[in-house]
Amino acid sequence: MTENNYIYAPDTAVSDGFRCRVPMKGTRQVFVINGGVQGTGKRLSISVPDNGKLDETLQIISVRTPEQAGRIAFGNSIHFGKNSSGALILCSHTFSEDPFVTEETSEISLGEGASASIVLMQNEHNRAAHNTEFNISLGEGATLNMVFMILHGGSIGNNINIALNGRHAGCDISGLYLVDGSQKVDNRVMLLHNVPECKSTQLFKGIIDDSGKAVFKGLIKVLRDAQKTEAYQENHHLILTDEAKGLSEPQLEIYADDVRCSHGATNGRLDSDALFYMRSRGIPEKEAGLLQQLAFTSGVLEKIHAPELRERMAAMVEQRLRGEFTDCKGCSRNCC
Amino acid sequence: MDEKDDILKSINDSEYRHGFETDLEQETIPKGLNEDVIRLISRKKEEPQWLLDFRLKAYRKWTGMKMPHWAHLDIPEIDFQDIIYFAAPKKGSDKKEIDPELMKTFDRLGIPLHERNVLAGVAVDAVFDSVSVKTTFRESLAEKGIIFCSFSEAVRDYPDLVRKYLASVVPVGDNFFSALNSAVFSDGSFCYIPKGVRCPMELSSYFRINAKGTGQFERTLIVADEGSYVSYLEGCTAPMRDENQLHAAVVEIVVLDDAEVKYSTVQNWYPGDSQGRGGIFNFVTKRGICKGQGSRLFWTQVETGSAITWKYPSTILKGDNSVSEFYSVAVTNNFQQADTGTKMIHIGKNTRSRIVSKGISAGKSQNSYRGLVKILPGADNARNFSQCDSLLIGDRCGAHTFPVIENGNATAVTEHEATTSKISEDQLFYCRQRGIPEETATGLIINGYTKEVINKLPMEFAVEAQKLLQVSLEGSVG
Amino acid sequence: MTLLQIKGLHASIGDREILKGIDLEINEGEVHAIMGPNGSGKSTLSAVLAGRDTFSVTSGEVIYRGMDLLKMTPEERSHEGIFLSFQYPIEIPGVSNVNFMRTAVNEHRAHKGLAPLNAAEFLKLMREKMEIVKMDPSFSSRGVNVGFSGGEKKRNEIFQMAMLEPKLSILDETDSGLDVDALRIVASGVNKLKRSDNATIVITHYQRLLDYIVPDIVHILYNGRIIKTAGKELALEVENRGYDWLIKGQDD
Repeated sequence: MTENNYIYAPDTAVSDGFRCRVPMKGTRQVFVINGGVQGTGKRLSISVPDNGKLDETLQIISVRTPEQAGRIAFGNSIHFGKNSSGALILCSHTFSEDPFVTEETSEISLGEGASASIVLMQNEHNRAAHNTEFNISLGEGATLNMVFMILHGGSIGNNINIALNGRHAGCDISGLYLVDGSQKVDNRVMLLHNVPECKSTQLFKGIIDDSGKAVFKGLIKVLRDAQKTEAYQENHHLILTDEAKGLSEPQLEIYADDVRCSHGATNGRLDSDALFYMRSRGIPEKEAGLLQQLAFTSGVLEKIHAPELRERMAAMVEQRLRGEFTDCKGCSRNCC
Repeated sequence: MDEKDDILKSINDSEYRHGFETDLEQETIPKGLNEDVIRLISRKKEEPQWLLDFRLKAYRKWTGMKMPHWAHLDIPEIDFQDIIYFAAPKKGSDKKEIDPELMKTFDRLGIPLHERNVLAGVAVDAVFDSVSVKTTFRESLAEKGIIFCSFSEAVRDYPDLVRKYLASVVPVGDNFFSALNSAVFSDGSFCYIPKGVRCPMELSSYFRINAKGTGQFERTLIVADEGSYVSYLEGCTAPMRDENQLHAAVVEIVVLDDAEVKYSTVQNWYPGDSQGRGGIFNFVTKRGICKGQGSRLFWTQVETGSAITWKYPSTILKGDNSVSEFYSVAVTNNFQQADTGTKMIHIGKNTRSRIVSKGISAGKSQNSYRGLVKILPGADNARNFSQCDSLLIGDRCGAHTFPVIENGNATAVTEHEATTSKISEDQLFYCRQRGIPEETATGLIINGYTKEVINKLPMEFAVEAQKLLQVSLEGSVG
Repeated sequence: MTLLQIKGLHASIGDREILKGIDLEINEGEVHAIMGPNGSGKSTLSAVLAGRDTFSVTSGEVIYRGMDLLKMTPEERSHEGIFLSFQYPIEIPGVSNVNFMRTAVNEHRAHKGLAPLNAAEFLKLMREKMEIVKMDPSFSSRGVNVGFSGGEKKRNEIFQMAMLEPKLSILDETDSGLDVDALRIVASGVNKLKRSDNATIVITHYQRLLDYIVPDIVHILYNGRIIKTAGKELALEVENRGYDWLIKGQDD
């Protein structure tokens, strides 16, 4: 990864509104400009009715533009009614190199039996700071699959609070963060098992290059009555330089006895034996290192269930690790 | 279900076997802490001026510090003016003649002070309240140049060594309790192993709190010179009382080039009764430095006692190729609270550390592992492996794991794993199918679970430690 | 003499009924084979007989040597002579085989009013019994089943059986995961332990093991019920024709 490979400069005027030039099949897009929905300017609020099903993946593209530089704060909410289901992609981008500061609050609730799949992509420039607080709650039997793809940004923070409030609720949360230059990424997960018989898994992986800094703090808290809880968490850092810093604070706070909980954290480097093996087969060192990094990211990418989206994300991760612009093939807008 | 309740009940009813009180004439000073009290302690111990200055400086620092509250502990307000900071048996403080009552006390604790009776190959420094009453085998160790004596004697006889290393690993102002200890510490053990000497016997300190209303503040300093080796063990007990008594010790270990120190603890302070009344508040700072090339420091602890334990034996891996390991079993029952773990600070190149922590919580207790693994940028090829397991017995207790892993070197590798669960139903059923009753089976499984740690203790103490675990969880362990 | 009588046994896990009315009678000196396709309830039956509480018995009774078996705890059943060789033997880290077996043997002895064996007596007994399944003595100091291969685990089960001298042994898929040599050793171990006053239930879904441990009676278990009982020739027929011809029309 190399520094300063991110300057967002849309090549066409967007006064007539943003549009995506290369949308994925079966995707409907909504733009949020500086915190307001394009067209209405209101805060984003999505509610899927009981028993409803989103036929298309809803892609919410949130951009910061030079028209409103500086600090803004806004909130949004997403609700899935009883037994409803759907998939969302939440993207955030910056369209100029202004020192944006974005403070966002996102309320996500899943009613009884609801099932949701959410992929987030955070792809902003080096001078942008973006902090988001997610307050997520799951009702009985609800399932949530959520993947954070943190590709680029000056300082990105995600405070992810998840409460499992109904029996048999299950969530699978994962994140990939690629940090270089002097970037900072800070992910905090607070996973609360409030009731019995829920299951949660977490997988967070980060590659830290140059003098980048990444923090992962994850707490699994199992309350006294939450018997038969299963909760697993993993955090892995790949550290590429001596200036790069990785901090892991996995935490377990358990007040029920009939539980299976575990966490694992590793901080590692590129495997020199594998590097040598690849070089002995004629693969240049740099490419060999890149292959290892790509392999490292695969565990999180596999958590994205939609094949086209997974492939697109995989391609962007590779571009990012090669130090190229991470834009969609065939589009030069550099958003996503 | 009934059976389970029985097990829990008998766990709660388990007995503390060292809870007796020794009735003998003791000299105490009035309650409370101020500069005059510190001067009085120093005068009683006939200390040189530099040490009094050290104490006063520490006291002044302490008065500006606050009780730490970051641990996962519910600590009642401690009135530091309501504690007696010095208590000593009247007879025998000059070590020439030991009160027979004291001899009997240590006999009952299984620590005979007659050299002919003692455990083979173990030298003991016995500390009773604020003073060391006897150090065995002192003379035969001296023949090899090994110094093993009470801290007070070391101050008198080896002032240069003490001055050189005192507070060199745990600075006075390191934390609230280390500052308090530096101001009021009474006695403790000192040992120095000269260059290239392999200490031929286990060195051991036994700490006994006896007097009412007192606190114990011992100070231990171990220096292993180049290429030397020593295995050191400490044990501790106290009478059963309704009041809480404070124990705030500081242990400093200096390991020079290619030297090795094994430091083992069997902590069995009075844990309080089944209602949570009484028990020792145990706030201890233990730290060692692997100062030279290839220094090695191994910690093993078995923690079964105390109402509150706040303790993080740590190693600074400064020398290149130095190694440190931390093996711990912490058992909490009834209303006990423990927040314990370790810190491994990697500074030197090719430094290695390993952490194995096994927590067992029963009753209404809270048991936390807290650890820090920090790799500094210069620590090329540093390695850490940590495994922290927690076992829950009953549904009213808590088990928590709070590790911090900070890596700042691209060639370093750290691995951390933690699990929390109750005893496996499959294992229990397997044992019962073979005719082993549930309670005995639970004991077997717990023994197996802690074995990796117990095996690290010196052989003489491993059996004792295992018994202690059984007593602490009595009922579930046949 | 009748050792075990199972009458109308129904058992379920959660809401799912697995045993749907089992009737079975076993006499001293007999070897019974219970065969059936995967999921027919074979392992459930063995677990219920040993007293595993994951399964609940909803109706029926089991009389074992005149006692109401279902009222007994797992350890009482063991003391009275019921032995289950586990399909997947459990690993118990840190607990050595010798310590485990000594505890078990002495509990059995205490139940019979006998004094515990001392260390020397016990080790002698252990060596003798290990010989039966050709187990290396080094296994005695290793953790129970920890790091054992599949074959070693099964041998360890039969070794434990030899130590405890049960009246009724239930061998749950003891052949799974064994190569031919290991199978022979395990089977000959079982045969050596056979007496006129004990009995064995062999649970398997292959005929292979029954070449070595020859059953007197073969039962086919399907969908929670015994659908056919015959002599040892039934096992061979299953080997040749599979289960399909037996289960046709059995599904409800």
